[in-house]
Amino acid sequence: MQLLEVQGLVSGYGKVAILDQVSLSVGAGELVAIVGGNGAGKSTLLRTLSGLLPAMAGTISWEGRDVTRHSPRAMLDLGLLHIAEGRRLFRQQSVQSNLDLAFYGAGLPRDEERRRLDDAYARFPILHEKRDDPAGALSGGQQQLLTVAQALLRQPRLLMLDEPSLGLAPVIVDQVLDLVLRLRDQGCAVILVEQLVERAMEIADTAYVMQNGRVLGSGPARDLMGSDLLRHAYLA
Amino acid sequence: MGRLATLVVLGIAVLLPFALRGEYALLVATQLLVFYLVVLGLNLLTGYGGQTSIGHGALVAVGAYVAALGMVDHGLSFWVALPLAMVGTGLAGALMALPTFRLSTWYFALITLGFARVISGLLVELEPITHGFSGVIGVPMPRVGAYEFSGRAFYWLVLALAFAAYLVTGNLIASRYGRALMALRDNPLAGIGAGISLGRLKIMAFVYSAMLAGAGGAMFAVQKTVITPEDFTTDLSIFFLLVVVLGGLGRKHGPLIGALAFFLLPELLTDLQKWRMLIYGAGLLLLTVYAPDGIAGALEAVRDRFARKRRPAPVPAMTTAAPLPRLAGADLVVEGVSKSFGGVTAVADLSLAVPAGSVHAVVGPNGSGKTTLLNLITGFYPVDQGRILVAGDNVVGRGATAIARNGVRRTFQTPKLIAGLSVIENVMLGAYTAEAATMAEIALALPRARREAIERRAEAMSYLRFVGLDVRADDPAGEIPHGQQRLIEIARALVGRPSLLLLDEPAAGLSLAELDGLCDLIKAIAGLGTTVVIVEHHLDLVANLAQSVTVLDRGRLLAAGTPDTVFNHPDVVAAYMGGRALNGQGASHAAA
Amino acid sequence: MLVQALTAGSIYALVGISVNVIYRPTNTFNLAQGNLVMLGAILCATILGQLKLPWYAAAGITIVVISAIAWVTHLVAVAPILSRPGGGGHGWLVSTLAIGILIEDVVGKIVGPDPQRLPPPPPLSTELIALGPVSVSSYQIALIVGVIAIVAGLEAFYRSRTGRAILAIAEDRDASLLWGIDPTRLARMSFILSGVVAAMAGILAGPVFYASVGLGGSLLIKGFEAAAAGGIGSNRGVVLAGFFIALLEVMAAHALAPGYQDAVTFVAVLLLLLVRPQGLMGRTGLRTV
Repeated sequence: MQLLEVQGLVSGYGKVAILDQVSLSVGAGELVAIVGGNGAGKSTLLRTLSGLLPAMAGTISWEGRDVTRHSPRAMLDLGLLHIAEGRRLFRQQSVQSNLDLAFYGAGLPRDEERRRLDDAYARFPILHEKRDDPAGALSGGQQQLLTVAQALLRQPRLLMLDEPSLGLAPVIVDQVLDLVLRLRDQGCAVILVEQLVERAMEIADTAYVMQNGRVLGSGPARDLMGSDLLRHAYLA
Repeated sequence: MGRLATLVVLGIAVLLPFALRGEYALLVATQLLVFYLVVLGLNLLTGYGGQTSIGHGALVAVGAYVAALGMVDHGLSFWVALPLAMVGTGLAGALMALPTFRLSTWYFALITLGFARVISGLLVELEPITHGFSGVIGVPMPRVGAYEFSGRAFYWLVLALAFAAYLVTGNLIASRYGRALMALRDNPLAGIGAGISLGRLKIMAFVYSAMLAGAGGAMFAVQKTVITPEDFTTDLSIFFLLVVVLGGLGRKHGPLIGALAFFLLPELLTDLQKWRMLIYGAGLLLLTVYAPDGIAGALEAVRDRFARKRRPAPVPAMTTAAPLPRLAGADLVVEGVSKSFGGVTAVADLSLAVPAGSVHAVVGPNGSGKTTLLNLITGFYPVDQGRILVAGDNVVGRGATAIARNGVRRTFQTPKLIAGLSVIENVMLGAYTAEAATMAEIALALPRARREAIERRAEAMSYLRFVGLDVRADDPAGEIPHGQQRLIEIARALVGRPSLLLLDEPAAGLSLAELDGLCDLIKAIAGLGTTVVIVEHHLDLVANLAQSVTVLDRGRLLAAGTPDTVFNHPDVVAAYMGGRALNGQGASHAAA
Repeated sequence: MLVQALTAGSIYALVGISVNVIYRPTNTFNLAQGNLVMLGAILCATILGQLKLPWYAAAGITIVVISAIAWVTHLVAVAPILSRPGGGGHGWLVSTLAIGILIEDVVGKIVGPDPQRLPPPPPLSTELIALGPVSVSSYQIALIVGVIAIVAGLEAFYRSRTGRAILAIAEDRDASLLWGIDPTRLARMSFILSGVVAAMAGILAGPVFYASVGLGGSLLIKGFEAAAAGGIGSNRGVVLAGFFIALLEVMAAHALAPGYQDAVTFVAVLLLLLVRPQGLMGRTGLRTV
């Protein structure tokens, strides 16, 4: 049984449908890349999966159970964490506060929270150094590290990352994707929406290519790399 | 409601006094008209303009006191006191409105409340002038020579004024002012982008509604013959707000329906006089939560349900489709521009040059700063450093409204249309700054204003035809699908005769067929002579259209030149696709 | 005179604080706030006067009742409007105004217009003690200290996880949702909290202002003035502004006449806002396109 199963999903804004019969599945510990040009509906897909957008038709199942109508809170409780595009941090609050909010509603005992936080600070010394600074004062790359750190703290079962490479230098992108891989190795499944196609394909297990709200094709990332399908979706 | 219906209602109103028995009924009817006058103005300000005022009762007080004091203490005739009251209240309204320049809408509502309290207090405090608690006694009826306007004659006088106000208000709403007010209410950015000064608009709306309130106040004073501060408590302001909301905010017939509904009920429930505030409160609450469009809104919804099938009459065809006027193209020079948000640099030391009349594209991956650059050029974001020269003029620090006025127009990433207006009215919004008819000419429907309205509509129509949407001219903009909304925005921008047109991701969300149409359209726009700058992702579109391209990457200039040069540049390919080029050209092109 | 100002200012500050508490998660303002304070004063006075319960019991009941009314306000007048697609515009201005009208009218009908006496909490009293050049009562000292304590308490609250979650909602609603933060639940909580502060303001205002129906309208404006001048969202700013407004009032009453107090403070606050729209200690926002 798959961790996340999506069938014939239709959703959009107001009366306008953006997604058109999208189906995909993610297994435990699988890294799925979703690629496609702008306006392909990748972000809309993630927002529908996490419950920010209500689905107009189709089903979403989590470990066999129907979760189509779930709120973002409910999805988070099940273990689905969505880091939206544009590095959605609480910029006026400190780095420390942002990290702490990652524990919101998780119901973890104090010392477990402490342990995870110390771990995260050890892994990201720059965050420890800037822990009292407002998150908005960090550079783009540091902000992205912060969001990944938040994810590490929450330890979701499925992490959805929307364009983490946005506006980042290649070196930082490497770091971020490295961390994503580390998460995957710890058993967390990942859905990665990326515009850096090649990099995404390199680390993904499976890839879905989207255009105009539909899935043009999918399969093992290895096979799809450099294919015509990919090129078409991107440059057309 | 057509001409015929208006005449019928007017006829009923004129004949009403003959049908009423007794003085009291006539008094109530007159009072209804007086309040209608005030609510007409409030509807323009709050209903159409979206500026909630909880202080209109105080404005009526100003009008009443100016008229009463003028007539009683200074022996002025009514015919002088009335305009004086209107002017005085207009000034008070202008004073009340000044803070709107810098403060937002809800702050502002509280300021009107504060103002109202201050005025109430001053009515008592400034005893030497206002007679304090005792008020003003013995306000005379208007007279002409020996003839006194009392009873029915006074009723007809008020009716005449109310009807005139109805016509004038209707004229203003149907004109560019009405459109601009609705932009102010629903989508201020669209207004700014069309070069409309929202601050001035707010003051104008306030002054106009204040003048009507002042006129109402003068009539009120005459009718009551005695006015005291007790007559003008906050309750009165709330009453007016209720009538507007009950009738329907921003609906043409809201004021009349609201006033009628309101006055007819209590006359049946005179025993419940002391419960009136309770009823007002409950009424306001229920209406705002459950029926925000009021009675008029509900009626319109019913009418729309049945009128669905009827297509609007086709606009009379132009005998010759006059060619669209040539536009002057401005050249654009961006010099060393930087912008940061907090610790994140959005744009760093960027420079580019676009020759006049050419088509230029700004491309780059998400997050590269393209839209930020567009917002900097159009003045929606302030520039941290650098210069931006439009036709040689440095526009940094000018503000979006001024820049738009000077011929720089834009479209938005998510189209900003006014749902409550029709398609063609949205387009006409773009011509606001160009319209020559003055407010007075429009208010009085003078020939020049009428002529101009027809010309502007025809002009908007020609641009709608240009973008291919003329068949939908009279449809409500809220019902237009996304892809076409963008075209309407383009038409709106063109109507402003821009010398520099900036399009923010015009191709986003369009189908392949629509993309072809867009490409042809942009070529045609360039053919008109204006300089076009497109921020885009669709590289195909850009390759077809642009004469020069700037590629951004993480806020900096990556490459610039013709589409050919730029799209074959390895750094560009790397930045866009990440890693190796898609056609498998190997590691030598990997990102540095 | 200074003490008088500090006392009145404390009450204004409390009202302004209750305004801020609601503003943070919802970006709205409860126009019934002044009347909630008034109701708190009158309810407490009535319970003490008619039911003859001990002071702290009366205060406790009052706080519970006012908080409940605040909760109902959110439920009935604010939540339905905010949850409309597009955010409901400014409809909440009129709906909360309506609630205020209802409260004022009902209370007015029940207790009439005459002001009632509301004693301070025992063991404090309004008897003046001479402390050097100033005469001050124990009640006044406790009030001023109390306000500062409340501000400190709230600052501690907003440092807690729940408090920061409330601040996060206003900053980025989507991101808050994705972290499991429930804006409606926290808005409701904030309304209840603001009800508690409003009730306290009413109970403590009694000795200074006298519990009467007309108190509501005046406190609404003063509370708003304090919040706006201090910088909406900044509790320290509110306290500072509250004191300044009260000081201005007292000076205006002496220099001109009592009737001009309202006009003077209003104009002063307006001028301040025109020069500095973000208030004394507020933050400037960034416009997004």
